[in-house]
Parts: sequence; C-alpha cells; structure tokens
Amino acid sequence: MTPPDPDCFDVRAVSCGRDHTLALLASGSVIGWGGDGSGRIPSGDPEYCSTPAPTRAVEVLLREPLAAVDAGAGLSLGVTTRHEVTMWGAHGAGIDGRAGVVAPATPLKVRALSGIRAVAAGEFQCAAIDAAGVLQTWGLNLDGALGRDAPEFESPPGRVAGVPALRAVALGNGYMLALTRDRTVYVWGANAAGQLGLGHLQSVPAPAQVRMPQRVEALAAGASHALALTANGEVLAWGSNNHGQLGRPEPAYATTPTRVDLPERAQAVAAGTYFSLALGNSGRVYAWGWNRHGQLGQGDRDDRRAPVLVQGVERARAIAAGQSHAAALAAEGLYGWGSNVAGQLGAAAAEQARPLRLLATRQQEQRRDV
Amino acid sequence: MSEHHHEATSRRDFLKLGVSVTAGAVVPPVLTACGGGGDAAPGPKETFAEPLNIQSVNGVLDVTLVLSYLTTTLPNPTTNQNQTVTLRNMFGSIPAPTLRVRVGDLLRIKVFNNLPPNPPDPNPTTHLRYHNSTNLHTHGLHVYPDIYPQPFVPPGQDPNAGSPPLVYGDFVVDDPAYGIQPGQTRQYEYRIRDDHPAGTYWYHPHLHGSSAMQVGSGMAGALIIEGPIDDVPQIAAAQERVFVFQSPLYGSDGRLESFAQVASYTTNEPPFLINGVRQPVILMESGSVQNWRFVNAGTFNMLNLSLDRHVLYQYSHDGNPRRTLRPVAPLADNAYWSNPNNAPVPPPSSYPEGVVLGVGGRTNVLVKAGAPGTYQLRTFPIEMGRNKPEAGTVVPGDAVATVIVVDALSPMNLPPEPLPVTPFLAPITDEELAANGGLKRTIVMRVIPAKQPDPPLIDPPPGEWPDWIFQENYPPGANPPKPSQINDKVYALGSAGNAPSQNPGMPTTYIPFQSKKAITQMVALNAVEEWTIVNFNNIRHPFHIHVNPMYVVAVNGKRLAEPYWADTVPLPYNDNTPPPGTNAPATVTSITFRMRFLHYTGRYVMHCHMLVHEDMGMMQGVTVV
Repeated sequence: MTPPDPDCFDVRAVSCGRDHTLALLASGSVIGWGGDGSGRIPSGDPEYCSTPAPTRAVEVLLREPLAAVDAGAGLSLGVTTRHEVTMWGAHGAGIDGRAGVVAPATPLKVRALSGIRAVAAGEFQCAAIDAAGVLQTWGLNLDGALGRDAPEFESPPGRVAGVPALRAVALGNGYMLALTRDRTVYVWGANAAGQLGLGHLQSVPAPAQVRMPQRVEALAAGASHALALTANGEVLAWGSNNHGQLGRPEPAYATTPTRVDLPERAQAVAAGTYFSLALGNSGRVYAWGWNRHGQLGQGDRDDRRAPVLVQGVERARAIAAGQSHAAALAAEGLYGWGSNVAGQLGAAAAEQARPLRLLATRQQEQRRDV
Repeated sequence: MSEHHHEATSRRDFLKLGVSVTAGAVVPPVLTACGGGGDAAPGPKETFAEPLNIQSVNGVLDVTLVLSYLTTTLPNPTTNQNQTVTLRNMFGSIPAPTLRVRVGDLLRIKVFNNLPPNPPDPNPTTHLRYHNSTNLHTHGLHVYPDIYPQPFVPPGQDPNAGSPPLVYGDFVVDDPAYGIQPGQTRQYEYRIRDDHPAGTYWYHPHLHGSSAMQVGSGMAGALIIEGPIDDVPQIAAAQERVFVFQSPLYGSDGRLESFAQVASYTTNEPPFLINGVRQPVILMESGSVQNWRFVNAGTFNMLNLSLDRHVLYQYSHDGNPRRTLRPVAPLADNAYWSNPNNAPVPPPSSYPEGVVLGVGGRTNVLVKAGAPGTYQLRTFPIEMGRNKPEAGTVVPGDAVATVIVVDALSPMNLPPEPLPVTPFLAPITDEELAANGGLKRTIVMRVIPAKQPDPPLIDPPPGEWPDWIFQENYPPGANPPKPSQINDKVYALGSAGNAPSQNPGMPTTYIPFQSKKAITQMVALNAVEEWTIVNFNNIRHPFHIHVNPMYVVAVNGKRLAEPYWADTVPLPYNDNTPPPGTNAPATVTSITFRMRFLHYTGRYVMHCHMLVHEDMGMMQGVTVV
C-alpha cells in the first residue's frame, strides 16, 4: 500500500492527540500521522532509546466511514455515520468497554454504545455523547475523572448523572469539561491547577457547574488548563499558568476564568500541554504559552505569555492542539507545527517551529479522497 | 564478601580486586570496641563483614571499576555449605565496594568491561542476548541523567579530532546491543549537589535485557552520600554498618548463564546474605547506639525486618532523611510466622510489618542495644501477592543476622528531633503543585497474558512475538524445562507508544506496551506534577523512577497522614480474581506521588524493580525538556 498522495484532499476535521494527528476527509475516511492511534503499526527495529524515524501519512483501515473523530493519547475514537463508536490504537487499561482488550489489530466497535453524536478520547478515560445529549464515560476513575460513582477502574461505559443534555465534552489529564445544549459548563475530575474553574484546587468526583460571565460556545481542555469561547467571541482561560498558557504573566494559576486579551474575536479554541490556540474570525491563528518544541509556530522556542499571531496560516477554519504540537485547517492546506518527535507532522525534522503544510486541501474541485 | 579488606591498599592490589582509586581513599573497617574484629579477643566473635569502603578526599572520589568473571566461594543458604561460584562480577567482590561521598562532591566512576565477548545466543528474544554487555545506574541519585554535551566544534573542524570521549551522567537509556560492550570503557560523572539528600543509595548495572542476570549475580554495591544528618552528634557517635542484602543466584555448577535461570525465581529466591555472609554475628555493647544502613539489593523478594526485643528507629526512606525518628516496634513471633508452610494463610490485614523494603529499597535505622543477650535480626514473612497458585506469594521468614549484646557501661543517646532535612525535600503543597503546572499523569503497570484467555486479549503476530515474550519452550530441552512464571506474558508499563513506523497498517501487537515502544513521558523542566501508578496485578511490583525522588501522598487513592519521600515503592497488590474471560482485575491498586522536575534535563527511565519484569519490558522512558 502506498501512502496517500499529499494532494487534493477534502479535509473536514483535524484532531491532534498526544503524539499523533488525524485528518477526517469528506469521504469519511481518516488519515493519520505519528504514534499509536495514528493508524500505524510501530516498527520493530528501533530500541526504546532511539529516536523514531519521521513518517508520511497513512490511511486508517476503517470498516465504515466516520462522521467525527477524536485523537487521544495513543488511541483514537471515531463516530461512524451510523452513530456507533469505533476505537483504534493501544491502551494499557483496556478501552473498548472490555477491560482486557488493549491492542486490537483492527478498529474495534465499542460495544454498548449507539446513537452517538460526539466522542472524546483521553489517555485512560473516554467519553461519548448520544443523540439525547446523554454522556457516558469509561476508563480509570482516578480523581473522579469519570464523573460518576464508579470504582478506580471501570471498563464498561456508564452514564454520568447530574448534567443537563450535553453538546460537547473535552478531556484533559484526568478531568473533563462538558458544554450543555443551553451553553452552560459542567466540570469534574482532577483539579490540581484549578483547571475546573471552581475557585479551589480539590478534585471533584461529580459534575459541578462553573459560573461563566457569558454563554459558552466551545471548550478546550489542555493538560492542566482550560479554555472557553464565549458567545461574543471572547476567550476565557483558567487553570495552570506556569508557561503563560492563560495569556498573561500572572498569576501562576487561576481557579476561576480569566479573560484572554486577543486582537480580534475568536471562533474556535484549542489547548495542549501548557499552551493555547485561538482561531480568530479573520481566519488568523493565535498562540500562547509553552513553546519548548516550537508549538507556538514563532520560529523559536521562547514561551509567550500573551497571544501572538502564527505566521503563514491564512484563512483557517479549524485548529487543534496535541501534547506539544498544533494543527490548523486552512484554505490552502492542513498545516502543523511544534513537536514532530513521533512523526505527527510527517516526514520532517523532529521540531517544526513554523507551520508546515501536511496536506494540500482543495474543497471545490478535483476531489480525490482516499 | 572479599576477604581482602585488611590487606594493604596499594593501587596494584585494587586493580587485582577490580577497582582502582584515582582520587579518594580506602578506609579500613572500624573495629568494634568489644573486640569483634580481633581474632585473639576472648568472647563471642563478630562475623559481620563490611564491604570495602572507598571514600572521597577533598571533594572528589574517582574510581575505575572493572567487570569480569569472579570465582569465589559463597555460603549457599540452601545447602548450608560454602560453594564455589563463577559469576559475572562488579569490581572483585560480592557485594561491590561501598562508595562514600559527601554532598557537594564530585563522583567519577570509570567502568571497564573486561567480560568476554557476548557468546552467540540464539534466544529468540533478541534483547536478552547480551549477558556480557553492561552499564551503570546510581540508584536514587538526583544527578544529570544524560550524556554530557560535547564541547562546541567550530565549523570545518573534524568533530572527532581531539574531542574528548563522551562523559555520561546517570545514563541508562542504552540499546541492549550496545551499552558498555565487552572490552569497552565508559566514564560516568556525577556532581552531587550541596542540597542533595544525605543517605543510603546503591549502584548496579542497568542494561535492558541483562539487568536481572547481572544484579542476580551480585553486581551491586552501596553508595553513601553523607551530609548534615551524619553530623548530628548522636548519629556521628554511633557505629555505622552497611547491610547489603543480596541473594546471588546460581545453579549447582555455581554459574548463572541464562535469563531463564533468573526468571525461574520468585519468592523461592534463596535466603539473603548480608555483605556476602550468611547470618553474620554482630556485637553490640548494651546501651550503645548503632547506625545501620539497609540496602535490598536482591532481585525479587521484599524484606520485613525486625530485631528481637529492640525498636528500630527508622530515619530515612531510601536515601531521603526523615525529620523524625520512626520507631518500629519488634514484631512478636507466633505459630504462623514460625512455620508458614503448615498454617493457613491469614488475611493480609493480620500481616505485621517491621521495616519493609521492596527490592531496590533502602533505609537507615538507629538501634540502641538492650540488655545483654542474643537476639535475631529477622525478616518476617511478607505477602507479595495473591491468587497466584502456581507461584509462592509469601516470602518466608528468615533469621538474617545474630546480634549479641554484651555488658558495658557507656550508654549512648538517640538524636533529638527534628533531624536535619535538606530544603530539597520540602513537602510539596497543593499551592506549589498548582503554581508549577499541576499536571497529573497516570502510569499503568500490568502483566498481560499473551495466550489466554481464548481468544487472547492480545494477538501477537508470529513474526514478532518471540521478541516480546519469554517463551516457555525455549530453549528446547531447557533445564528446568518450564523455567519461569513469566512465560508468554507481556510486561507492560504505560498506555501506548509514541513511536511511529515507516510501515502503514494498524497496530497489531502489544508492542506499544513494551519498553521498546512504550510511551516516553515528556516533562517540562521545573514542572511539579502528581502521578498515580496503577497496579493491575496481584503482585507487589516495586515501582522505581530515576533522578527525581517521589513525594508519596496517597495509597489506593487515600491520602496519607504522613507523606514521605522515596525512590522505590512496592505497589499494593490486588487480591481480586479477574472475572473469567477478562484477565483484568475487578479493582486496581495504586500509589500517588508528587514530584519536582528540577535541575536536570535529559533522558531516563521508570520501571518495575523486579528486574526480570524490567528486562521483559516493564519500563518506560522519561524525557525532561
């Protein structure tokens, strides 16, 4: 099998996992770059100490087309056009709803889930929302990460009670952010940096509502900080701020939402480990926070404690953030920048401090989906 | 134990021993006031033997240590006879010399691997083929973990011309096929910070695939970092003893030449020797205080130490000093402990604990000798797991040393509290965690059977699985034929890997969980994080992480009243039987710790310190950037 030609793709969505990148095409197929969860088999040669070789994209061998996809840490979840959930990648705890299955050879259907509209994959936790807005979670229930009364490990999906009908859910490291259909925010799980926005640092084992100054349109969960996009295009941030990921030099962390000063109104947010992205209404992309691997796209490795413009990405319509890499779906292509140590940005150097085009995209003509 | 420590300390003699000292001094062992070291003295004779002690001078300890085969005699605890053994050896003795430095010192160790070339080995598990390659780990030290950067080479200049050889920090991230190969030399350099915790550490080889065989051969020594705690008058006045607990493994021919041999042991590991001596005799004067440093340098078994009718005052966990003495009362004998094989297994809650050390763990204790008499230092039975009928799960009790207390008129005192503790070990508060990222991570330790249930949970492709699981039927006609409990299992640490491949296709193997492919945790320098290590198994995997100590704050999700600093922690075991067909437990166990990632960037590892498990893949990388 030859890798897909990096040309003429109609990309509908992009998702960045811990160290892989997925592009969902209009055809419902998915192509991936990087480590486990990208759709690749790991090579048998390098030792655990070696630096992996960069790679080109591969197509995920799906049985049926997908309508949505979410890249987690080493695994990926997809929603089929029949509203079932499929997973691929690897997982030490067993993640398809059966405790034991840790590394399926082909994408697995997650049993007991149907009518699903949205999914979110973390490292040891997963979440799915059905057509009625009901949320089910499964995995390791440390710090109350599953948001429900369950033992420390529970593999079958179970319903999270105490939340209104949900529109979306986002997973950080051991915590979840949920956006309701009436645009309010509920949170639970780990809270060591105040990333639940509740005004304290204690873990919360069941959904709690966060007081927001405005209606919220979208949420992003970083490793230990959170972002919200409000109805009027403002970006709010809370949680850890050790690298300026809240868009301000102080304080070192914030347990309630604080406003990020952006040059324009935003239409989307994304968050990785200690860094943040916002997509402006103009299609420009802004970044701030940790920059050790060039994940702010500035051509250097210096942290930024206020938003800066990512040069070279125009007319973007979607953004995504991994552990320390980022991606933007723009008019002329799918771009990525930041860490490439797992090949999550394709066959290129291990660090990309400026946007690199992963794929050319053409929406109107010459569709040649894989 | 070497018998050479009374000999003259010329450089030539130490070369003969396998160690030479460039900077530092060899210190003869202290003789006890009651004549324990003198053959002519009347009364009971001390047989406790200290390892060779080499200490820094003027802030530097610079030694060359040679690896070779050593033929010597060891007491065989099974036969109660001395046995001639021929084992791979680190530096001429079992155990290796005690290296002693002070905070702020420079420690340099040059390792010369004088073992013969690796013989051709058809073992299908390729990374187990390099028995004679090696490297070195300073267990517990907070030091630079990587290879030191080389001096800048101007453009146009041959980078190899005149450049010095590489200098290594506590670097163990070697390819098994490389490491320090036979005939090669590697220079290690450890700069001990002024605020480094003062305490008891140890050093041993750490090459993935050969660590169990080499440590199982007795290749390990104590590494002492002295500091303010050792200047406390009552501790300075106390006679110090280093106890390196080892259980050298060898066959009836006195050799250890296959991984299967090491892997055949679990709790049936032979009883411990202390500094190469079986059940040594220790003399103490009544009322005197001694300072004992315990090192569990075995390969599997835990220690559960108690001295008859004496309180052991524990003042460190691993190398990390405590602010207060922790009095550990003597355990009472009873019928079960006397004869565990003929009594029903009591519930775990009834297992008394003395000073518990998982493999790799250390502690310092003070002991004040009581009334004249003879007492046993015992390791009491300790349960290391449940629901493994094919393997023993209780380490049997054993008398490991005899303490003879003689009359004297010089009572000594225990030190006043609080004891000095470096600010480096200040408790990690919620506030500090929050202000430095507050990141939480989860690490899963899990042994995954590769052939059961039916169908198996993982489905290794025939072309690859020999490289990843130890095979029961290899080699054909092996003796013993079913060498171990580890056959056909994947030893996993972590979730999934971050290593890509040139070859498209779905992940089809468990390889992501093997150390070779496991995720490397990427950590920001200066971050403070909280990690939970989850144990999916019914055995007490001892979790060890290099370079930075753990501030243990919770066990099984329950916050500890008294958090403590450690570098090696045996996880609680799981006593639930997996539901049929799942091979996953109904519950999991865990420890939770906080950690500061200070001072050093670089690559290192965390792993199960049951080194057979580590060699089979229960290891994961950490890279601080």
